Order: sequence, then C-alpha cells, then structure tokens
Amino acid sequence: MKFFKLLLSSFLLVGLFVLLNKGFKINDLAVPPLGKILDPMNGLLANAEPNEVEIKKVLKLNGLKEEVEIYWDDRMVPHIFAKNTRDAFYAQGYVTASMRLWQMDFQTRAAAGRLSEVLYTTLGEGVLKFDRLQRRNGMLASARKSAAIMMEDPETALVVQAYTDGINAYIDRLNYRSYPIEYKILNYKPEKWSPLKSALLLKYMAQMLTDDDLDLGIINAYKLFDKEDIDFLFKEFPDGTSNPIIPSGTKFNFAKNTVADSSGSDTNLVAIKGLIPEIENVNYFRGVGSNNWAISGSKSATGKPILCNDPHLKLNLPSIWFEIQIVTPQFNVYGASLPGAPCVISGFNSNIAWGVTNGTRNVRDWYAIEWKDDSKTEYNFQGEWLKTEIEYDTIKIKGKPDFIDRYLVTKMGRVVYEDSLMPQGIGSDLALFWTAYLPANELKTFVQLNRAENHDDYINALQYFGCPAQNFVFAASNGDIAIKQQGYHLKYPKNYGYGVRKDFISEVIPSDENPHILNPDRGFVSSANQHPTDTLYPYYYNGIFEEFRNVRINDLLSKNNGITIDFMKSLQGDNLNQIAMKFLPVFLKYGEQEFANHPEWLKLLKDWNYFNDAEQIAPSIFEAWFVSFKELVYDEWEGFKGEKADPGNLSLYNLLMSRFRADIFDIKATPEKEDAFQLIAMSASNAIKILEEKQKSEGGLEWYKYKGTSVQHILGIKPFSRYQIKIGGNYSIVNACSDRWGPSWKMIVSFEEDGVNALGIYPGGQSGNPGSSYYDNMINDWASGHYYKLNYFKNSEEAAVGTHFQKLIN
Amino acid sequence: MKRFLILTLIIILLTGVTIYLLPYWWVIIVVPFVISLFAFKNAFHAFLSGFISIAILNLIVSIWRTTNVNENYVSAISELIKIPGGTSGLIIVITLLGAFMGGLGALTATLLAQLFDNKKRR
Repeated sequence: MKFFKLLLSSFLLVGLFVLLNKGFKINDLAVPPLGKILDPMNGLLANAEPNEVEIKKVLKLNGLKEEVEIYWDDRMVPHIFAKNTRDAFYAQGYVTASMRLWQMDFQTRAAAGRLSEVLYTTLGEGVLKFDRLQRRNGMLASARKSAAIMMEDPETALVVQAYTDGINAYIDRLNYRSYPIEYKILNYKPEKWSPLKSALLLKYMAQMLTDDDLDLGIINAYKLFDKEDIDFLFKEFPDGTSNPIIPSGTKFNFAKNTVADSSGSDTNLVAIKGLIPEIENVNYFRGVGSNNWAISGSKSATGKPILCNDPHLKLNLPSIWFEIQIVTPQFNVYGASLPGAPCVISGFNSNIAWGVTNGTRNVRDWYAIEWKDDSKTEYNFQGEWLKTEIEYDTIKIKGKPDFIDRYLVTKMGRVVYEDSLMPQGIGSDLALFWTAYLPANELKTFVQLNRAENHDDYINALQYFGCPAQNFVFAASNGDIAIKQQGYHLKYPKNYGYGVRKDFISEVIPSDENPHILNPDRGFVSSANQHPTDTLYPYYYNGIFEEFRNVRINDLLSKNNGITIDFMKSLQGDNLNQIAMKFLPVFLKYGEQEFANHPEWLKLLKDWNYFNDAEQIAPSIFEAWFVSFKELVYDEWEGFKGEKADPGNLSLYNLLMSRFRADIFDIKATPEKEDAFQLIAMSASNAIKILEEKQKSEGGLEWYKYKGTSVQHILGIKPFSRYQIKIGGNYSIVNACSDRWGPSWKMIVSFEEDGVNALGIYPGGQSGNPGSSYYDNMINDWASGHYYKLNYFKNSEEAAVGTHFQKLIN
Repeated sequence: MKRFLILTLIIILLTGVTIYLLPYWWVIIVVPFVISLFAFKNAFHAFLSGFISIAILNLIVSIWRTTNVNENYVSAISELIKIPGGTSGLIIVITLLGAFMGGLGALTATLLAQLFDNKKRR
C-alpha cells in the first residue's frame, strides 16, 4: 500500500514536471511550459520592468579596448561615446542586443529558414514549408556569400566583428531570468551571434523589399484575362505617369543602351503549361514603400537644406527600427538602425543627412531550365550542357529528426519551383535569378555614409550597394542636395516585358549610369517609389511603381518657398487621397442612385475634401466602394490559388476611362456582359452592405475605425499588440498608413546656422520587451503627428545633462 | 506544531534564497523534497508544509514582481495565459500552481522515506 502511494505520487510528480517544464498541446494549441513561465521569480513576471528606469552604472565587458560612455535619454535612446571605431560598434551591438535580442534572433532565423528549429512544436508543418522555401529562395546561401565578402574587407570586417562581439557579450551575461520574454514563451535559448546573422538580416530586408516581381503573376493573368486588357494594364509607363525621381526631360550623359533590342517580349519568353501556385508565407503585398525628399537653401526658410525620410514598412512590435547615436573621434552619427545590422541606416551626421526609399524596379528573373535527363545533373546553358551544382542542406526540426533537402543551382539561378514538388504541375523547373545573389558589400555603404562629409563621399559610399536597390536622398550642410537610385539592375533589352525567360541576362548597369541628380534647378529632390526616370533613360526597366504619392509631394514642394520644419511635418502627414480624386467623380456619376437609402452618405461623399483624415467618414465610404469595385473588375482571380499580379490604380483608371466595355469588366459568373459603369453601380450596393455591417461592428464609420490600423507583435501575440490606432492616411497617400503598413520611421533633418536640428519618431518604442514602458510609448504621439526633437549631442558634456549615465569598461 | 511551523519557515527561506541564486523553476520542488525526505514522517504534514511554504513564497514574490512595474504588461500576461481576473487572478494561479508542486514534492519525498524506514524496520 505504501509502495502504491509512492508510485502514484512519483508518477504524478514526474508527469506534471515534464508537462510544466516542456509545454504540451491541447487540440493543436501549444501550451508553453507553465512551470517555467509561471515561476514568479524567473518566469514572465521577471520581465516586468520597474516604472523607474534602472540602469547599471558600470558594466565590465571583455573585449573592449577603452572605456565607452553611454547616455540613455528620456526615450531610452542610447548615445554612445567611444574612443575608437571598434569600441563604438561593439557598444552598438551590446546596447541593441540588450533592448532587442529576441527580434534580432527571430528575424535572422526567419531569413535563414531556421524557424522549424524553435517553432515546429508550436506551429507544425507550415513552418517547415516556410523554411524549405526560404532555403530554395537561396536566402541562407546568399547570406553566407555576403558574410564572406564583409569579412574580406577590412573596413566592414572590423565593424561587423565588433558588433558581433558586443551582442555576444550581452548574450553571455544572460540566464533564464533575464531572457527576453519570447524565449520563455517559445521555450528556447538565445544562440551566439555571428557576422552571418548580420548578413542574413540584410537579406531579410532585401527579400521584404524586392520579392514581389510580377513575372509569374502576369503569366497566370494571361491565362485568365483578355491579353489586350493585361497588356494595357501592365504598360511600363501608363498614360498619365508623371513626376519621376529624376525630373522629366533630364538628359543622361552616357551612351544609349548597348544591349540589342532584338529580343522582343514574345520571342524570349517560354510558355508555361500550368498555373504557378502562390508562394506561401512570403511578404506579398504592396504596403511596402517610402517617401524621401530634400530641399535646397533656395526653398527653405533658413537658407539651408532640409531632408526628410519616412520608410513605410509593416507596423510591428518590437519596432523594426532602433534609434541610436554613435560618436567617435572620427564621426558623430545619429539615426535609425536595424537591430541586427551595425551602423545607422537612415540618419545624419554633422555634415550630411541621408534617407532611403525602395527602388521597386524588377530585380528578379525566372528561367525555365532544360535538363539533359531526369537526373537533373546537367542543364542547357546557351547551347552547352553544364553540370548542375547540387547542394544539400539540413533543416533542424524541434522534436523531430533533421530534414535534408536538395537544392539545384544553375548559372541562371536557383531552382525555386521544382515541377515534381508542386501539388499541381507547372510543366517546368523554374530557376530564380535575383540581384540579391550577386556579390556586394551593402554594409560598406552604410559604414561610409555614417562618416561621409560631402557629396563625393556619398557617391563613393553608394557604389557598394547591390540589393535591395534604394533611392538614397542626400543633403549636406554646405548646401548640396542630391538623389541617386543605387543597386544592381540588369541590362535588359528593350521591351523585355514579363514572363519566364530563355536568354540569360546577367550584365549589371554600372553604378555611374544609375539615375542620379545633384542640385536640380527646381530646388528639391524627392522619391516615393515612382518611376526613377522618364523614357529618356537609356536602359529599359519595369517594376511596380507608385503613381500618386510622388505627385502630391512634388506639387507641394514646387509650389512652396520659405519652407519650415512645420511644413515638412504636415507634408509627411498629408492625407490627400488622389485615387479618390480620380475615381470618385466617375463613381458618383454612375453609382449615385444606389445611395437612395443612405442620402447622408451620398452627401458626405459629395462634400468631401478628399482628405483621409482619421475622423472623417467619407474616406471609409469611398474605400469600401473602391475595393468592391476592384473585386468585381478582377473577379477572374476569385478562388484562384496561384501567384497573382495586381496592376496599378492609374492603369485601372485609364482602362475605365478609355475602354469601359473591355472584357475584364464582364463578370464571369453572370450570363450577361457587364460594362464598367454597371460595375460601378453594383459595387456601390456591395459597399453599402459592407458599410452597414462595419457601422454595427465598429460602432461608427470614422476612417480610423474602418481602416483599423494596428501595430502587432511579430508573433501576432494579441496582448502585446496595439489595435484601432487613431491615424489617417492610406496606401498611395503621402501619409501612407494603411491597416498594417505605414511610416515606420519619420525623420526631418534641418541644417541650420548653429548645427543640425533634427526631429523623428517611430510607431513603437526603444525596448523590445513588452514588460517595459518603453515598448510602445511612442505610438500615440506617432499617430497624432507629433515628433520628438532628436538629441544630437556634440560631446559628452552636453550629453550628460538629463540622461542616465552608463560606463562600459574592460 | 512548533516543529511543523519551523520546518515550513525553513522551506520558505531556503527555497527563496536558492531560486534567487539558481534561476530554475523546479527549485520549488527540490527544496521541499529534500527537507521532507529527512524531516517529515507524516506524509500529510509534509504535503501541507510544502504547499503552504511555496504558496507563501510565490505570493510574496509575485506581489513584489507586480508592484511598481508596468501594469499593462502584467494584465497582458494574464490575458496571454487566458487567466481570468487580471493581476489578482494571475497571482492566485501562480501561488496555487507552485504550492501544489511544492506539496507534491514534499509528499513524494516523505513516502519514499517511509518506504526505506519500513525496510530498515524489517
């Protein structure tokens, strides 16, 4: 009996211990290790930060050469004062990790295709699929190449190694109690940082910004839509395209495209039998974008340049950006950094300021591979049989044996879609050639920009940048302003078009032939993801280009003089909806009668000033109508489970105005043939239903309620996310804040007589810890259009006032 | 009774100090286990002592951990683990869960000790 009692009690003890220590699953729902996380001393409660900031005054770290001083200001921005470059980036690594370690680890794992190692038991098979695709996309392989290039160059090797050592110094000090909360919830441990991880982070950005090429979507579109309509919708320069980055009419001072334009669009393309399925889990949305501009002294109130930048990225917590100031005897830089990569990415020093927007030209080509035989060991390359490089890579899976995958690599890129692996065959193996695979040292650009003193330094720094191609805006205290689109772009023949290719193209346009302008007559430079040039640019290109934001920005910058910082604030927050300005008059003409039961909505639309302000109702009515209209126009996609291509809204407007009886306007499900005007009326009544429901569920139709902007934790953990943020704007509006995407870092830098005057804000907080009050403290101010004055300290005496002091010693 | 109270107090103090130095949650099982192995003859007393001591310890620590800190976070955690009653609900669950495991550790140890005692007597 005694023995039985013991047995029972031990069984219970051991069983509960295992469940509470490892976590378990109920109905596919993963329960975290409750014993660990509900331990009040070491579990989740240990991550609750005190209301009063506590900072260790002196930290002893191995590997520093000299003392480093850090001043944390009232928003927890670290201001690092180091005596040499190595210590400066070591300290950047240390402080960034201390605030954002889990995010850095997670994003680089996602890039590498290593999520199964930690998330398989939580998320299951889907995460393995994601990892396999990331590897097929060549993310890990190309990051390995990048890391090697970084380490071969003494300038970047010093920086990335110091940054790595700093992160690892922080990781070495951790124990379970001090782990970031996500490690506790997902039950895994931080691992050591390496230069490879920094390379992976840069690839992660490259993927986020360039992986939405149109080639495969358009192939599918040709099978579902009328060819004429698709050709019309995907013109390289739709009618009405205006305001390219380099002002229209600018002559380029290099020879006409040397590439023969013989290979017209059709002859070079390969027909694909099947439909190409959509890539799962990869960022496929157009919310990515950005604005930047700079005005010269001739247009500013101070007589000196002002530069602005606001990259539009997914609104996540922890924030994608981390603010920092780094000071050494050689340079003094301030701005937004990416946790996981050394240097400042968008920022300024005492001589220059710079900012980035995405280039958005197509930088990915698909090739159909012709194999010699089924073994796939040889492939046809320009008439020759070449040996396939076969790579094997191991994917570790939590709680399961390793998964070994095989990858086929050709000169034309990596096979991403292998016909035999696709659920519905596509008839060919498709290899991807992507500029992210080409050797480049992107980090070197930022290392040099951080300490650049003038336009020459800026141009020198830019030449190293490969992918993702960016529009780098520039302003200097000496009065210069400039913009350059920099990154690898291939020399495409004229009318290269869209589709899967036969003839291999790998020659890159030289850096000095990329679109660039210094001190234009109009007194400002700007970019908003629009066409970089007009048709005078000697090289052919295509891509996904903004057609509205750029127009508004240029309009306001050219009309105004004596521009102040306040003007720039209102420009970054400008809510004018130019899509509505184009479409609404036509919509009202043909759809007004549908509002018989809602005359108040009709009145709001008619009286609307076209601004998508947070509390207006008209933008909600228009948006519901516009989205419903597009759904009816593109009804051919309905239920289609493949890669899609979404044409720009300017093209859609052109189609509506010039070819309203086009086949695309017919609704396939009905026997009648509809035209565009019927769709306008039909979509009005659909929109009214949506609006009636929304009014009930959200308790009102104010634009911010309808749009529902949220800033969400990277894992989608609801209690760590913020919803229904009161902010206006939308896609294609200067204030490009849609539901999940928006201005992720807003910066205004004004060069003035007594130095740099800079403002900034981002939708989050410096800390990545949901237990800190600095996790999301800037969101409300960001939403209301408020900015903070950035503390750009000239020296440590200035920094010492009103900050928390910390010293790092060896 | 006095002995029971003293032993309970010892468990509270020893567990508290150990778990502060060693960041492992199972310290709340191991300390009551080890002490009960040598100090308790009665299995029910052992369970009660383990239960009460860890309950008190966890209650104190969770109150300390949730005072003067970011309140939003503490309620976010109870929401995350789907515990009703906000912060107080969370503290109750933490207290009871720890207490039960502490008690179970103590109970098992005493039952084990009893088995050895019986063998010795034979």
